Amino acid sequence: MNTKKEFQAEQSTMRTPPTVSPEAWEAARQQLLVKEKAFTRSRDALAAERRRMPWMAVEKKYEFDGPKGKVSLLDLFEGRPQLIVYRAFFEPGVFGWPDHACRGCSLGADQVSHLAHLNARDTTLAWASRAPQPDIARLKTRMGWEMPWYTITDTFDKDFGVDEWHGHNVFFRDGDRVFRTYFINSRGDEAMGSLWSYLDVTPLGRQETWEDSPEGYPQSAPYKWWNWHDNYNAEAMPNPKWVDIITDPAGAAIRRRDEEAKAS
Amino acid sequence: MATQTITRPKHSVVSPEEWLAARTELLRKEKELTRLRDELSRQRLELPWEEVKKEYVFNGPKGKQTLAQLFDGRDQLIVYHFMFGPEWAEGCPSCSFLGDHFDGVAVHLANRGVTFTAVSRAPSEKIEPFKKRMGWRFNWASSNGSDFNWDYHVSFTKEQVASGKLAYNYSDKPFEFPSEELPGLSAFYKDEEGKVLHTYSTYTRGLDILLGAYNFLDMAPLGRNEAQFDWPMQWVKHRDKYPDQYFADAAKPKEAVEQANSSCCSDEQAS
Repeated sequence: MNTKKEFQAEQSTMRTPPTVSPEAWEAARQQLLVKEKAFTRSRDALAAERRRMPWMAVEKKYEFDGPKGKVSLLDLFEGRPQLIVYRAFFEPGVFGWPDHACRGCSLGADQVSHLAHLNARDTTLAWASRAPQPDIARLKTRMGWEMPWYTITDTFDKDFGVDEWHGHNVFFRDGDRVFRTYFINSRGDEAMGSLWSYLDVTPLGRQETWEDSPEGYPQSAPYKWWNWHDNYNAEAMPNPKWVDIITDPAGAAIRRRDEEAKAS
Repeated sequence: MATQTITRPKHSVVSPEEWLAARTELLRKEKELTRLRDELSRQRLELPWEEVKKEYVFNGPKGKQTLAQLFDGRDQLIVYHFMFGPEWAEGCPSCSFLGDHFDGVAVHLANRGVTFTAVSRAPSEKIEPFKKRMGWRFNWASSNGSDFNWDYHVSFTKEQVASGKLAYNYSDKPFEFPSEELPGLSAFYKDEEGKVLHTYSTYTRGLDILLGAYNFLDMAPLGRNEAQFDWPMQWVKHRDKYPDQYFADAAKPKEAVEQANSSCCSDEQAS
């Protein structure tokens, strides 16, 4: 984590871009804008393709625990036709339990804006974890989060590809029939929040080691600087095992299976 | 609870295997776009900087502050140009839609050495009660009385508005918009000597990626579903006013709403 002092030390070794006249600045900015517009159009085209993807029927009945007891997948729609379910990691065995959910998921939760806007577009956003409801209720209060958050009780996570890794599943409801329309995880989840969009327009970018930045820019490892919004000043860093799961989920799963095989 | 009915669109329903095949094919393209975005971010970092030589003075909860002081001890500053004219009763609904996203992000940005602030031409006496009503905590300064909004091309004179030719979004094309305020985002850097450098500004659809709710809607089966509107964000309201219908400046007559064929934060023609 960068303290202000460390930041100043880094500054002196930074090779920053040239400082130019307003005219030269605007000319360079115009050039990048052409590429940014092309990107926006590509993104629109991809969204258009996404809406044309085929759907699959969800035939199995799923049951969740909610604040008012047992609910079905259909109930999660709250009467709206569209449902987005984010699988968040908050349960025994996850770093931070039982005080906190996974740091990455917590960072995501901070970026869920007021739900009134999504609801105005006939869309319900819900979160789901394995933690019991009393723990979820306590966490929401502590962190000031307001999204509906359910407890997974059956094979929902395994069936929808989110048993070992976070992800968004999207559903459409036609009366009582439910269709799975979309699934995204990994860096696809990144697009849901706007933190990255802000950091991408700052002079220093995301300040992460994988970035190709001008020489000497401050950088630290991705996933490791994120913290709970009420914990940025504390020293606690994530358990290395959990960082491993976040940075290399496939590898971590294999290593865990190997360990389990050895132990049995 | 909401019971708005949408008739199910005609859509092919396939087996899980076929679904996965189609999804995997789209994923390949999504990954290409993610890489393209990373490359664009790299090029953004290489843009030259320009020195801010003018002394701008803002008014906020901490009293009078210069642009350098708005950095609040950090090296990087992001200014969101929030549409809230001096005579308006409240901030623009579309900017407020963005505003509903700011608080969750600002704390994490601060930990990356980035201070976030909104800036509007409305005086602090108007900003503060509105901010309170919306339950927001982010920094929000008034640029009333300074050239800041004009120099960063987000405020325009009544004459410019009437002429229908606004110099907006680095374009020579005449831009017509029925309001004196337009949205934008600017980024600044403060060097070791305390010099302030302007590194980046973006407008119109360049702001699109700041809207988490749009990112979610892009993943929803029906997408943003805005084709039926006169302008894309016509459906957006202050979150405590969803049943109402009105435009950026709530005091503006309805004709202005009907004349407007462009949104304040998401306009196809202008972007």
